[in-house]
Amino acid sequence: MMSEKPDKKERRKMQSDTGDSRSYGEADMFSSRNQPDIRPDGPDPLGTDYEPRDRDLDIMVGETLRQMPVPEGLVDRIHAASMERRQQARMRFTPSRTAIATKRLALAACVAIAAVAAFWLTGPSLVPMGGSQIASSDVEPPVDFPLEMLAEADGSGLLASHDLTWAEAHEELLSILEAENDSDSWGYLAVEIH
Amino acid sequence: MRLVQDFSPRVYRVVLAQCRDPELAEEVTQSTFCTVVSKLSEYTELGRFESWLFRIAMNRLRDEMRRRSRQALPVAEDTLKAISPAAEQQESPAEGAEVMGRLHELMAELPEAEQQVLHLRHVAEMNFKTIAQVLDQPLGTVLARHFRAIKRLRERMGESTMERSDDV
Repeated sequence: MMSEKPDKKERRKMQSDTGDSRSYGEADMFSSRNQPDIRPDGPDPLGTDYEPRDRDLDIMVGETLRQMPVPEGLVDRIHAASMERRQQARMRFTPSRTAIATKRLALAACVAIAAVAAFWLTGPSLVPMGGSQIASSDVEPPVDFPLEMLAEADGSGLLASHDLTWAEAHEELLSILEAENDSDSWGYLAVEIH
Repeated sequence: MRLVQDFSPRVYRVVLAQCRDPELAEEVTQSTFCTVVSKLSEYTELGRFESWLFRIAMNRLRDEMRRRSRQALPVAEDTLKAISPAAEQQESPAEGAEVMGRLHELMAELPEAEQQVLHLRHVAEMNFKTIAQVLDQPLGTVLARHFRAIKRLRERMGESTMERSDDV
């Protein structure tokens, strides 16, 4: 084994080449040759860099440390504490039936509110448009509406549409009357009205 | 239960070896297993369970020591008795027991990082690779620490003591 080690000169050269200031023993310890044989379990055997006395000391250290007393009932106490913690953790993560029911109720309420809101925003209007009154023969016209003009222009068809407001009907009526006075457009308009 | 049975004495000893306070060691061990039990579902088998467990223990101990503002104290006589290898052995006139007592004392004087390696190697019975995982250090660093620890111990023990112990 010793014959494998480089002599003093070579060692110095190796250390100066690598800029390694460690002693040969220390530097050699890190070489792959001296890595301990790593076993899957248990302490490894020591590498070749350890002297027999070091190995003895290592064994003695192990014997000394392993003799440290473990208090009686330690395992039982730790087991009991662990089980208690486990139980607490389970209770924390398992909600009661009441809590589940409350959560479901709240969820149902949220869904209902969302549905009503969606219907309110996107659904058809249930109230008449705006505050304006629709022109109709069923409804009393505003006081200022020229009924005599309506009769004169024979515009009762305007009221049957149910789409016009009284103001729009008024405008339409004026257009009809104007057209009546204009012979060019009266021919076309007469066809439209009848 | 098997988990606690298999590992708790080792965890306790490693923690005790480092804090040298039996009460604190038990507290830390208990806390470690409570954490393990509650986090077992989150544990993913990436490495070894053992290194995960001991890493929790080491972190717990460090936090607790920090919290209590306790530093590694020089070993007092009474504390030594509490944690020493078999009290009856120490009281016996056998030289081996004396050497062990002395060795225990000297180990407590080693730098903390070197002590950790010795404790994990001999008390937790781990190989160097697992020790490196627990301490989150490169394997080379762990090997170097062990090497230095043994050399230092040997120097401090003195050749004469070693010779005597060899005879025993």
